[in-house]
Amino acid sequence: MSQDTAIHIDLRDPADFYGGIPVYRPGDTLSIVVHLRTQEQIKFRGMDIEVRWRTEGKGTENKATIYKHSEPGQTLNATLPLSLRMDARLPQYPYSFAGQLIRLHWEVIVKVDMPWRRDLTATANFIVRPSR
Amino acid sequence: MQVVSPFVYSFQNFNNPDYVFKGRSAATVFFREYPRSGCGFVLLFVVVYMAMMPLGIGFVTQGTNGGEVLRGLLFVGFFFVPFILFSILVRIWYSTIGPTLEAPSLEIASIHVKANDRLRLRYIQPVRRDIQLLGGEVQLVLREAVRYSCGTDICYDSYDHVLAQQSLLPQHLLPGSRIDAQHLLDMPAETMHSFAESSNKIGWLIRVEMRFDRINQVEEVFQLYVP
Repeated sequence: MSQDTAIHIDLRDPADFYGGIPVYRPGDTLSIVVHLRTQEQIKFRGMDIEVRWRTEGKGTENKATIYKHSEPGQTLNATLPLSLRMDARLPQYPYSFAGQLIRLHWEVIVKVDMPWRRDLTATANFIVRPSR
Repeated sequence: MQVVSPFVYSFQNFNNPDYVFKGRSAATVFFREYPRSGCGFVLLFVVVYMAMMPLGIGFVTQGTNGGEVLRGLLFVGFFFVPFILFSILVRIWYSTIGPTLEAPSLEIASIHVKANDRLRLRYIQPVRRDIQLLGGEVQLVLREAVRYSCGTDICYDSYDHVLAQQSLLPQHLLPGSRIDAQHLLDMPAETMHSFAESSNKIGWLIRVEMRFDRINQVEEVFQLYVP
């Protein structure tokens, strides 16, 4: 990521925290705020914000995107940062899981398509589990 | 009460509600009850095959006319005969003497369970011949199963978390009697639901392990669903 440009993902109103990671309940609404700040003038071609789960571990990865928002390209500068807010409804399944062979992660991933430069990406993890 | 048949685990049918257990083959039961003779039998076949196959292939490859080629093919084909004979003999054994253990069953209120449920289980294992049960366990298991690429092959692995367990007491079983064990197992407060994707599966099982004096350790699994 360029030192002059930063993506910050803010996950609002979690039901709880576990080890500093926000925890949501199945069926909750996930409020996402994405800030894109820059110290220089940049022009990006588009931005994708996805809420997805994916497996990690010994097995081949399985993943699914449950929400996607695409923002059209625009020009930003230091005095004109970009802030986006969106809500994603979480499904009932699957729950986050950390086992011996399988780990199931939930995450919000932001990808900024930059012309003639490496794309900018940022990820924010969260946990989905039912209330006790 | 729901009566459940044992489940033959494979990655493909794990967590597949449409999978219906059709029963074990006579050969599977034979090898389970006589593992040593089964291994010896397989070893004998392998040795004979290894020794005789080059001769058979030699007949085929060095055959100068049709008669020798045919003879070679017959020579190779001859080694399938013991397998066919074995299959027939095992079927005769199965229908006359029969296995020591008949097909077991599990009685449970429902195979659809959830967190904090108390599972009331009744495991019934009919016995046809005199045998000593040395001990065993009835376990509630969370199984992780994965599929992955290893070189040019597809490999499978699984890992079991035993979350609750109760013991089966040693007992002498007479012909016609049965193991009739009733147990209570508690589902944990925080549970992972059954999860089935193409390469990663998480599922719930009741596993019954039994050790006998004359036959191999027996393991039966019954599939549960956590929605």
